[in-house]
Amino acid sequence: MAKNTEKQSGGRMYLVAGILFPLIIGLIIAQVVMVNNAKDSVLDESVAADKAIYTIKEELVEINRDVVMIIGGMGDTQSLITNIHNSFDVIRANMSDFEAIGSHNEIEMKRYRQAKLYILALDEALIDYEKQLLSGSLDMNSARNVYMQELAPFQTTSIEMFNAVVELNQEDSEEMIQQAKVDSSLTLGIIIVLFAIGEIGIIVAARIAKAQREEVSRKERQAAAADIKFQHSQEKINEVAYTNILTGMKNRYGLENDIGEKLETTQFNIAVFDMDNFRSINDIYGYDFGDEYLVQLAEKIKSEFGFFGELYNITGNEFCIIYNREVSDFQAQKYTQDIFNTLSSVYNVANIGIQLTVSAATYHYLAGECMNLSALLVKMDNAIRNVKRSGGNQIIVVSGMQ
Amino acid sequence: MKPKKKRLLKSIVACAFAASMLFMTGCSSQEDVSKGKIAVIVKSQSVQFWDDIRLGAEDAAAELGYEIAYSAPLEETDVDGQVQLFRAAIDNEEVKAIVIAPSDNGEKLNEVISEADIAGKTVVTIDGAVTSEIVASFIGSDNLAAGNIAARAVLAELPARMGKIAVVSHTQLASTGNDRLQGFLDIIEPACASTAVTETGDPREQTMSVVDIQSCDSDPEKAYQIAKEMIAANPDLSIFYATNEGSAVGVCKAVEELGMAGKIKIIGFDGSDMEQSYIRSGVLTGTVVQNPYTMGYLGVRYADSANNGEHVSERVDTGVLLVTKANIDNENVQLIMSPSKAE
Repeated sequence: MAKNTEKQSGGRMYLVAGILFPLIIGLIIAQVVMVNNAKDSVLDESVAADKAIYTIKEELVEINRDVVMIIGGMGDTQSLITNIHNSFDVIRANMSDFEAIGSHNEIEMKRYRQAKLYILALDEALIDYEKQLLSGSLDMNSARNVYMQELAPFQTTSIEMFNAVVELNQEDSEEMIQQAKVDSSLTLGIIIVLFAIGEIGIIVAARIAKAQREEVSRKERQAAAADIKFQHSQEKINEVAYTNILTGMKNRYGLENDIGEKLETTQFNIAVFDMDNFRSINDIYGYDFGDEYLVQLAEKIKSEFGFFGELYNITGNEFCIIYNREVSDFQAQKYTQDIFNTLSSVYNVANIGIQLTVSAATYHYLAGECMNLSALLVKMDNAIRNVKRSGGNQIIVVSGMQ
Repeated sequence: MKPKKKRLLKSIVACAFAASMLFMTGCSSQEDVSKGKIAVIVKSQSVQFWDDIRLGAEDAAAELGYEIAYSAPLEETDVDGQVQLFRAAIDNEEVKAIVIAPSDNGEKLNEVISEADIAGKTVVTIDGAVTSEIVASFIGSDNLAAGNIAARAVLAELPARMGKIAVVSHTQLASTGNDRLQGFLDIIEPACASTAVTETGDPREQTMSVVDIQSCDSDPEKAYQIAKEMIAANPDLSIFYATNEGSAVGVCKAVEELGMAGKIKIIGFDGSDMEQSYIRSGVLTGTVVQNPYTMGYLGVRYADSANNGEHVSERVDTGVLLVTKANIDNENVQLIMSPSKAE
């Protein structure tokens, strides 16, 4: 369960990272678009301002030309004067246009006001001058002198000032664009930094979650390994419990363990062999000698008959075989006889020839006859006891359970 | 969070923070680095005319990114003083160009101007001209024209072409004095001479003449004394012509004191506050107002352009304006006379 939620939260974090990423990209794009728009609007206004001033300067040049023509007696004085008035109207209109643009800074406006001052002064002076021209009170020389000395300088000065305005306007626009770029870079920088922090944070958090998950898995594996170990040791313990330490054959507990289900469900052939007078061997030759003899017996029947069924050493000198299913009744009889013979042969134990007789019982068990092993073995043991009472060295076939 | 991971996260955040700090400081140092200094040397310290020049110069410097190093000797006649200040400007490494209102027409100044040229510093003259050809530009009134205009104003006051004219000029040293006098005489003398002949062409005694010309060295006190003497010597004096602020103020004081205001007319120069009040009170009939603000402003601008190797006009006429009681309160006239009001 823990694994699942952790995987979920890890996945969730990557989802968040995945959402953040396009969001950040979107923000960056928005910034870039904003800067471009700011740039465009600044440039538009700058162009409009430049245009207004350029037009004003052009009109001033026109005025100059018209006056020179009047002084020189060229063209019609009245219509030239009308031209001059029209030029001033255009100048005034363009000055309004310039003033309408909102983005001028203080220094630029100061310069512009100065320039405007001289235009207005020129306008006024021209009114007087025109009167003098129209009245004919000025001869050509005087008219020229008056214009050059008293009026033209206003024009020159205003043009100089307007030139300065244009320069300042350009610098100002450049600065504004630069500032917009800087602001944008700064914002972009901050966005990128935050994004990086965010992503790094997410990666770090994801790593931590992964590490935690791995820790849990590790622990689980450890537990599983411990489980297995436990099972193995359990099995080992069982092995010890189910095995006769001396002969290495399964013992009665092993038989009990193996036969449990069979009793209910299967028929099988069983034979039990009990060595006659085994106690005498121990008495005469000692327990070690007896043990060695048992070991040889067990090994002999194991090696010769272990293939045909499960062999058990159910007590010290009692052996049992549960024949495999494939072994027929007839064969089982035969093998039982063979085992009987083998067990009652001569064995060389510590250079002494030993031979004992065997009492054996065989039975064809039918499923469900006995509740448990004890019940079955009692039967077999009873049969063997009968054989021993009559001198042993005999195989008895147990018939039906009573 | 394991300690290692915590440290890692902390260092990442610290790095990001430091980076953005760097970013901001790097970006905020958009302040203009000063381009250096432009020296502005004028003729004296006491007269409003020079203050207006300074105002124009400082406005231009602010626009362009320079600092103004302003200096002047105490007296307008102290040419040596100007030479010294000029040399100091040449020696000052921060000074990139020199704008000067010369106290002489080049006799002493031409030498230091050459020195400035060798040192690679642009020189621009304002208000008055020097004969040196090294100068990048001369920005100032056409003083000859100003003399003409003053002459026309005087003649306008003598429609009958009868009367005595006295001139109190301010200096013979500098071009301003010389030109204003010359320009005046260029118009007045023929006009006066023409009164020696009747309409029918018969000779007669000149009805209009210039009776005296004296220099007051720009000193109002001196001008005052000279004017008084001139009035004493010429009781039927019609009109004074004073060629600068100092002389005009002195003459006005004399005429006012002697109670001759309105009887003896005065055509003066420049539009200081004092002169403006004399105009309003009727003592000063008319004054030829210059454009010292523009001289200072364009002087610095041209110095910068010339320094950058750009071509500049050799001569800029900043214009003059005759101010009388009739137009003195005109808004534009006021702004031209008092540029600080336009701020």
